[in-house]
Amino acid sequence: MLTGEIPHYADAFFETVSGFTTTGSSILSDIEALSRASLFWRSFTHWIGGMGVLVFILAFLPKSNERTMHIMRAEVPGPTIGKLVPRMKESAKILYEIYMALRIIEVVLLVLGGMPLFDSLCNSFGTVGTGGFAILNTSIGQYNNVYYEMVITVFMLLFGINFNMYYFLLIKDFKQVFKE
Amino acid sequence: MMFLLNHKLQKFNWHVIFNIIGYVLIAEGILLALPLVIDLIYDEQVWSAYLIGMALCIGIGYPMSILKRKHTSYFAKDGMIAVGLS
Repeated sequence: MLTGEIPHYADAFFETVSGFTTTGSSILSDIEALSRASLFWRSFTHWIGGMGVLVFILAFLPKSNERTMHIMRAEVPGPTIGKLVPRMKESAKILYEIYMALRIIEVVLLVLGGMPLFDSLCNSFGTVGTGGFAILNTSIGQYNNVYYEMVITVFMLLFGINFNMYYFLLIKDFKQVFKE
Repeated sequence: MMFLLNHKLQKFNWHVIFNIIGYVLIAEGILLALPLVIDLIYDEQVWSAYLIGMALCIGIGYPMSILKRKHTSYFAKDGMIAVGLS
């Protein structure tokens, strides 16, 4: 609203909620008309919301204690929540490290395929949150590039999997992987 | 009816909930620096909007984050409210 690119409050609210909840719905008919800063922030909301805003807060801010489990439980979907390590703050950090590492790999692969860095950053934000905000009107299809589509499809699948599993894979706890 | 609602609302640990929302606002305010940098790189003249956004988030979030807690314990219901509001 402040940039004047989405002038109506209801539209701006819808777009923001859609971003942070990784819903991916949009009121914009011409996405390319937005400034690059707005496109970046729009996609970035997916990245923050993908893991949960409060998981982010738990991971990086002080004053978390054993009761932060209640926040994590409210933020994470599903009936149960698994602790990777005894402290919730450490669990949130591990999850974010996996989240960031996977995202960096995706960006590198897209850049290696010839996608501009800005585009690859924004598209990877859309992929990690599994929300799908893109920066072009016809999304990834506009690039008309099979390599980009393949990379993004694979990472969509990877980001759709429970992140606890990656942690168990890293520590070679294959029993837990199969359990997951 | 209003008494019942008021009584239920009083059961929440609002200080902790406001603390958490304050931290969320501060974090968002800091993260708004990223699109601001992007705007400065591409020179599209919308940086002031992001600067105002940052100031608003941190300006509102900081006082909320330093609210003194009457008691530090919070439970699942408080977590649910904090997540919902943030």
